[in-house]
Amino acid sequence: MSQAAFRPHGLIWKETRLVVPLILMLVGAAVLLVTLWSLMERSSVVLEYATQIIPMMWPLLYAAGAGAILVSQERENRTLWWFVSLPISPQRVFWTKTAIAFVGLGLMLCLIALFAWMNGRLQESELSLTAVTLFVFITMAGIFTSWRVPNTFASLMAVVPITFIPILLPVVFVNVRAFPEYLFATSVSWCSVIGAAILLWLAYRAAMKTLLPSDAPGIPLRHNSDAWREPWQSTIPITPSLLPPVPERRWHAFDSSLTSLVWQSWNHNRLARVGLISLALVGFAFQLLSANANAPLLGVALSCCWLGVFAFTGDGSAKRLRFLADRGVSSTRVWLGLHLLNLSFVAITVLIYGVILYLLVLNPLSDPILLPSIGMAALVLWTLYGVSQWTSQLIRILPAAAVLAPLIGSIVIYWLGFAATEFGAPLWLVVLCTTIPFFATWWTMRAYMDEASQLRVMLLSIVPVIAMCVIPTLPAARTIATWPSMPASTRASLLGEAELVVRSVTKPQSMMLKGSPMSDLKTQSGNALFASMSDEEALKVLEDYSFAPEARLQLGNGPLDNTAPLAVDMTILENSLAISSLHVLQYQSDTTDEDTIERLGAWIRTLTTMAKRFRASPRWLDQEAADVVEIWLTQTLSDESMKPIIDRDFSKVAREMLADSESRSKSRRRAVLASWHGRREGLDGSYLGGLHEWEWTSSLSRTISGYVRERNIDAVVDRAIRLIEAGERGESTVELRRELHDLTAGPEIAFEDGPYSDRLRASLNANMTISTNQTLKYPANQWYAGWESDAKKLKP
Amino acid sequence: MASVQNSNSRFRESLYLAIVLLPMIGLAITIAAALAREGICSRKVNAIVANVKATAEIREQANAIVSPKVSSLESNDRYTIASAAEHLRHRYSELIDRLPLSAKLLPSGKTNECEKVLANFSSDAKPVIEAYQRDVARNVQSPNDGRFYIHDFDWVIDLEFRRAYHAGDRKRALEMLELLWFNSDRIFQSLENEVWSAADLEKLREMVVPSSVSDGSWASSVGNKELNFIAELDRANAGVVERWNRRVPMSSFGVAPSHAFARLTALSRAQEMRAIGTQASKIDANQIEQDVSAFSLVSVPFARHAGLWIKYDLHNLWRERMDKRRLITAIAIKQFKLQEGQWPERLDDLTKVGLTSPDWKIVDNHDFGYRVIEDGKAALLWTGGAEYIESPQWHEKSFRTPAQPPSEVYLNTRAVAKLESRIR
Repeated sequence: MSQAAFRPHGLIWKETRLVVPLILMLVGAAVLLVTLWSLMERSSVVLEYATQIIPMMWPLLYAAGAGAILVSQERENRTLWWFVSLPISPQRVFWTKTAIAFVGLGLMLCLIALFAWMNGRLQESELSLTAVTLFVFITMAGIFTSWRVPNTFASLMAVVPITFIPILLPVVFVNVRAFPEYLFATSVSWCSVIGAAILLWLAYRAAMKTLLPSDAPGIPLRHNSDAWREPWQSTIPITPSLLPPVPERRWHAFDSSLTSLVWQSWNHNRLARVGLISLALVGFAFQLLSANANAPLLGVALSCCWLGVFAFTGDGSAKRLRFLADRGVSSTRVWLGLHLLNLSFVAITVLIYGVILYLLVLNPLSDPILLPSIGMAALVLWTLYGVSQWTSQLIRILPAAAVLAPLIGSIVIYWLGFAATEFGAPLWLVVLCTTIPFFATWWTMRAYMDEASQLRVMLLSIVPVIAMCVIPTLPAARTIATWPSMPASTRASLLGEAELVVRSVTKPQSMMLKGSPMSDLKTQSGNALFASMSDEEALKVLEDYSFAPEARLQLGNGPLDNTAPLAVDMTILENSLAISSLHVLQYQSDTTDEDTIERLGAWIRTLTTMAKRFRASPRWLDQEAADVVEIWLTQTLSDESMKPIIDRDFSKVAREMLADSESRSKSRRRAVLASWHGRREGLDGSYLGGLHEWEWTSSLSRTISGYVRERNIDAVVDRAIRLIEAGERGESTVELRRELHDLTAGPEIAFEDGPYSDRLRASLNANMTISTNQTLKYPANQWYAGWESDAKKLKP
Repeated sequence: MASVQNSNSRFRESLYLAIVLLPMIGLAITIAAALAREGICSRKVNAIVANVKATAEIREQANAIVSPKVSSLESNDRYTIASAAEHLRHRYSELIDRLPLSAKLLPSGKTNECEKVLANFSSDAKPVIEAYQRDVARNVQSPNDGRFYIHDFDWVIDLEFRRAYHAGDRKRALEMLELLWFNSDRIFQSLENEVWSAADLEKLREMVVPSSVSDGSWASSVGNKELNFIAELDRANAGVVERWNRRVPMSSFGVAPSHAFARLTALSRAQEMRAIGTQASKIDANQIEQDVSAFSLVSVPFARHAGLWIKYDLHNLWRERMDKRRLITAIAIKQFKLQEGQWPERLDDLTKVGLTSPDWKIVDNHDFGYRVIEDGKAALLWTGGAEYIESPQWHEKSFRTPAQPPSEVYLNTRAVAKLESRIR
């Protein structure tokens, strides 16, 4: 076959087929990552960050792995030498491979642009000219190292330090030559472009050296006078003394003990191991220098990941394992032999980190951000190693495994962290889960050693994958499954009753302030009106300002004393109680002043109306507000100092209302059912009759809270209804209050210290009172407390 | 010979295995030791927490802290007073802000355009203040002699003090100063004018809390930290998710008992610290924070400085103590002037009015700055001696008597403009 007969699209097709699996795996992993994060993390900030940063990992990882997969993999599989034997020009081979690598990179960039565009974030994405040039540089670095360094693993590692060159050079310029900082990004771009051009030239030279034929090795006979002849034509008999010396080797019987396997691991590609350890040490050195940054630890994490990859897909590992399998060596022993050395490196890494941590944390001059503790570092590195060695057993293409292992490791770390924080997975369970990857590779070790089909190994791995996904969710599943709710029979009967209730309810009206000194004297654009007044005018306005109820309040439509249901406004309610409190104190200071009595009377009358209208409301929150007002009225009217005015009209009306416990209970039951119905029908948004029900489960993680919220509401409604029934019958409500405490105040506070405890129940004898704000937060916390008995005694 | 070579090889291989196992064993021992210590510390922490919680008085405080959702625990009467004070502030603050009565004191004899408003205010506030005084008298056995702090009520008292001060009602003004929770600055400002009699100054000196109380407040501050931490422990142990807690290295795994133990021990050491507010105590505090940081580097999820923040508390107490001493010294200077008819030449002269040198020595044995100026017509006292200047803004806290009119001390820009127009 001549050069002319060779069709270039065949070569392009062949190279494309090499790159496509890498692209597919990367896209698959990234899509999995984004999907998982969007499912797990409900915080939009984190999700935004994830959708912004994660796609950038596609081209980055592709750039690092493209060279290895196009060149190093072919070299390892020896297909490159077969390829060289074909009549294809080496230049064409080089340029085709390079071109395909960049076409793949272009495709990845198009994909992330598409992704950003679909999210409407093309402008905000990290895809800048600097990033693109840097990706080009890294791709070129990968191509260069794969041609230049014969060992696949070493060529991959060599990419890491080269990657930093275009970033470090501008840093040096900025620091040494007082280079303007705003030119940093431009400098990185230029360094990347120039560096890529230089690397292209170096890669071409390395490729030609590899692809072009070299001199065939001859037999260097000593004292050979007719070396021009072929050996069989030699006139001189070839004696051992004429042959080059053969080094003496000692051959031992094959030994498969654990010590031998470890020794073999130690001596298997020592250069790659030294490279990996160097990577970790460089990371530590940067950590010690920068003190505040966690980023250098990524180098340490990467080295542990690649150690894991090295376990199964390292240089010739598969063949070595097949050799051992053929000799019947125990798969467990081989598995141990593979891991002991690597885990020892991981342990050394953790111990070095411990020393650095000790130095950093105890340095009084440094103020480090949170750094993982020694235990946490050990757990993370152990997990990364475990996941990486599993990845390398499942994906037998070294460059692909090397690129994917850190990505999958990160996913697993995130998943376990998420399980710990969101699912409440205890530490022992998390640790147990980190052993699953080791169990998985041990379980499939025999099949792997026998070079069983990749499909079979993958199928065997499904069980551990499922275990990894399911086990961390068990604590959350248990919490959700055992969360209290409402019995089905109660639900059915209460729903029927609620249906009837909602037919007769009226929507409550809003309460508003008519104005205040501040608002009256200010225009919408600020205090222009105020400023334009003279001192005397302003003083007059302010002094004449009335704090009488009719001047202050607008309770719904019409006059204050109408009977339409009213929805509470917490600020206005508190203001009203504050003014009334001042009037009480003023009255107590002089009980004979008729003006003072009249002012107090007006407020007591208004508060009575307010309470009645709150009671008429179908919202649960308004019932709590009515309780607040009635408690205030009960305490005020029961005071000794109020005796002279206890029989005035305003007092009588209030006392009649306070003594009517039957109506109070009816109103409460009606409001609870109507609020519950409204919530179920989605009429009340995320409220329950105006109550901030989401706060009740705030001590749980967002995920668990999301699952149990509706059931929690059902349970609160159930206990509240039962509380009303028990209160009406005059039975003890302690147990029901305890349940309500568990459902709304959670484990954060002990029942005895919480809002449902006896010491915070309002009564005349109570020496503590709960604030209005807190009363409205915890439903039914003042129902059937001592103040209701005190209120009954006020009956005229 | 072959057997010898084999055994050599076996030995080498075993050596490799030993070297490989060594770091793993080292790490395993480190982690095992940390876990064992967690178990021991857990028991110790439980004992300390039980002991703290068992103390009846602390129990109440602990409850208040442990129950962050139930923050306003007051009696009905206090609730009424607090509500009324809130309304008074709401009602009058706009009015007062509008008037040329700045946050500083308006000395007696100066024109006050808001006298009528202040009279109204005084009449409205009187029953509230009386109710407060009655409540204090009823609860005199309680902590703080029955006094309780309400932000709005302090505003009411302060305004009533300013009214009485301007009206020359010294008795009422002194009464209000006694009720005022944070009264140091007001006492200090009041000294700038010739208002107080010798008896009043004697009473003012009694009002200034002696320095030994600073040590008490240190104990209370550290005690609160202990209670806060115990509350956090309780919440963590109850499985409450602390999403934004960065100060305590806890996670959903809870607080590592070793960390809890180290922290509680450190707080106990901080309680016992002597010479609060001096350089020596700062060094002690550094050591305590370092020790607690190093204690649980293996078992806490994330490591960092312990974050006890006692250094900041120390600094605040130090300044508080200096402020108190400055105030006592300023009162004594006024007493000296009334007694001797002239300003003291040096702070050492204050021994004549019963002051001892520790009262005008700031921490680490440095004096305040003091100088007689304008040929003996005025005296100037400032915080921070010439040799002890940590930050220049301290000089702003200087005290000059008599004050220099017209000064921003009691006149705002608008009032100055009005004054100028009157002069014209």
